[in-house]
Amino acid sequence: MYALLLAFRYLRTRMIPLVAIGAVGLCVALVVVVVSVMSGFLYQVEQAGKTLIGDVVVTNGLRGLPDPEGFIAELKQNEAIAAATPVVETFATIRMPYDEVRGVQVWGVDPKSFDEVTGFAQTLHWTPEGSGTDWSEADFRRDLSPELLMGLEEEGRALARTEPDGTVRPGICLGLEISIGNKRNDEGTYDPVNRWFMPVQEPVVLTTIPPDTLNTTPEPVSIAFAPVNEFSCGLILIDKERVFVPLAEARRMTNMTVAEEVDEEGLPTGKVFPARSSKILVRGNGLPEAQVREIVDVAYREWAEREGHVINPMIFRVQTWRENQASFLQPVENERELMRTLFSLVYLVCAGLVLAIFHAIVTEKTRDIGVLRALGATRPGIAMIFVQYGVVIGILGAILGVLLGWAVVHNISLINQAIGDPPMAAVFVLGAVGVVGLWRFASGFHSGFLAPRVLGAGLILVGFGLGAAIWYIKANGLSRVIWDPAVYYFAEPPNRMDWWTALTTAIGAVVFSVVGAVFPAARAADVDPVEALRHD
Amino acid sequence: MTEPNMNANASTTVLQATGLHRTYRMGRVEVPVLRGVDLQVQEGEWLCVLGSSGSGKSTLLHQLGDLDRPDRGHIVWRGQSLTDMRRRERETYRNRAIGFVFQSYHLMPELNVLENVMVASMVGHDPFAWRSMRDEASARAEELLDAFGLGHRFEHRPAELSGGERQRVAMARALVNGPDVVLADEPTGNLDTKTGDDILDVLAERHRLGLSMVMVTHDPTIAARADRVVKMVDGVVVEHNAST
Repeated sequence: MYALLLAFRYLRTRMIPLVAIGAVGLCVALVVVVVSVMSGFLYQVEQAGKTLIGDVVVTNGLRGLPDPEGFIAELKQNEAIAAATPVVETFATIRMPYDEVRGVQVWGVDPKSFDEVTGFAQTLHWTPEGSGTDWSEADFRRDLSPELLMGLEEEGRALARTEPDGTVRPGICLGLEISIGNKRNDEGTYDPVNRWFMPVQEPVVLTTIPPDTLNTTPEPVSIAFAPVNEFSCGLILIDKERVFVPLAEARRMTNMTVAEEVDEEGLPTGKVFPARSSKILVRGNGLPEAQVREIVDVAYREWAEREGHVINPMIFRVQTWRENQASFLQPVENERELMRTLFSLVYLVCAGLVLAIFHAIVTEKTRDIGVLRALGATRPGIAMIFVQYGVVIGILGAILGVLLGWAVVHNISLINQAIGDPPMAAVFVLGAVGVVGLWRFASGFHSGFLAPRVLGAGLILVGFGLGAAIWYIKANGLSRVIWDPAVYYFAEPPNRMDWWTALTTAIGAVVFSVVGAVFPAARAADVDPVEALRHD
Repeated sequence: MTEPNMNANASTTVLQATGLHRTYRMGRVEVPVLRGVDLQVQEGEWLCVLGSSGSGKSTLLHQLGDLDRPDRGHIVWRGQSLTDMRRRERETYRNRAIGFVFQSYHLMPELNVLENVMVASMVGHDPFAWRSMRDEASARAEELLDAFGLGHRFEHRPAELSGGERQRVAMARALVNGPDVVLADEPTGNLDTKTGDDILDVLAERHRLGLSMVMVTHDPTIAARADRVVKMVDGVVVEHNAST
């Protein structure tokens, strides 16, 4: 009982344990913030990746999958499947109305079923959604009429434009980063360039070379599309290189349309090859992805066997969206684990800090230890004072660290902006700190004591030095936001707290605080009581 | 000499030291501090060990209180040899049979007066046992502090007390477990004469009620208050005298 009493009293009446708690707290907060940001980043990447893929992806290499509509019709009979859609994927050059040609990834989709699987319509940019309440002052959509935006949304959903004369033209929906008409600003939203915006401009032309499956020299195929809308899935990598076009047009571009077999003289044999798609995307009905994958895999193999389609096991794949995106997700996951491992070294810092501080405390409390031994305290009893002390410091430090970590993660956007572009008020606050430093320095000079002078000099350096640096940066426009939404994957730094990491880090901090306390505790237990009683 | 105490019984030996030797090593030099000390403490006796600085009297006290162990010789407490006791038994011996009073009080600055006294009871009990006897220990501590004129000082920290008050707290701590023997090492050494006399009066009162005491001092006037005085020179007892 005395061990706990003394542990708490040492905590309450001394400054140095508070330093230990603060140090442990900072260590915990560091890990929590770094891993939470990495986890949040991974989560954003996953969500963005999943948004345009669904739960399960079926692929079959260059030749694609025959008669996907037939398979999908049968697959949807299964209650576990909510939706499925065929996708034709290819690469093409795009000629923009402003005479720029660049490469893009083309996805030919059936807009309706594609939306059912992926929520594609939610990613459309030019919509009247929210009537502009979520838009920034600079957002160009504020200047467009709701009617116009509604029309653009309808065209985007249909991937088609109906001209006034009733002609229906195939539409194209571009990633928001493709056109030069949108410039990403510091807030992560987009400003129009020269009041120019994509959907109402001239047609764009996609040119591609169909994949060669017949050992012939393929001819390039060019198709003009009406730009009907733009999309933003939140992942800039996709937003800057992908376009969506109608499935039929993509099939024309890739020779995946219905085809008749011909003999050596070019005459039809009567055999018809069904249209194909590069992949089939499937959304489950709430089941785990792996389970949906198994259902789709079994269903496809049965269907293909029945329909007489040969599956090449070397290239046929049924993958969950996570497996499909593994090449992209895995490095991010690995980076997170690397960060977790590297920053977990702060546990050793915790242990080292506690050890150093406890070493000092044991030395300071040697006489008390002698008194307790004289009163009959056992060696384990003496050790327990310091072990429990370590536990208390670890727990309080861990709680402080988790709270601090949560506060930082929760406000990371504000902190990011404040660090990148500090408010002018910071200059005045730091100036005030400098003035306090001057006062302390002067009072120390007057009294002859050195400590106030040293403290004053430090405050002067920090206050005036940092204040002047911030003023200079602001005056010369040198501010730079660390997580710059104009160039980063996502508009905002991730602010999701990783509670699992917080919990494990907190436990680790307690354990390593105890580890740090054990050696000084053992040393305390071994103190010779006679020597201890002579200790001053 | 003080009045004979109520329970004086010369035939009962509480503590007996026989042939105690203790040598300390200071670098390469061996310094013999005790060189064959024989001593007996009777039930209810106030024994003073008189000697100059370096004579070995404090070392003798540490041996009797089991804070240190002799190189040779042995100490017997009520028929039990400390040498034969297990570690746990020796810790219980220090907690229950012995009460220490130090020259420098050795109170814990983080604890208040009452806690400084009760800590001696806490040390002897595990947390579960302590819960059941806490009130009893508290009452005992309060009673002692009241008796020593510190009833209004329970919540005060040692830093808020005078030297005499601190020593009285230290005495209450030594007595709270009802020890067989109090071992007092120059208990008035840091006090002025008047305060020192007050402290001795308190101890004398406890002795009158039956407490056995071994007090180390270099002051013959203090020794004069004891039942018996032994004089130590260079680690040996050179003279056994009843106090006059």
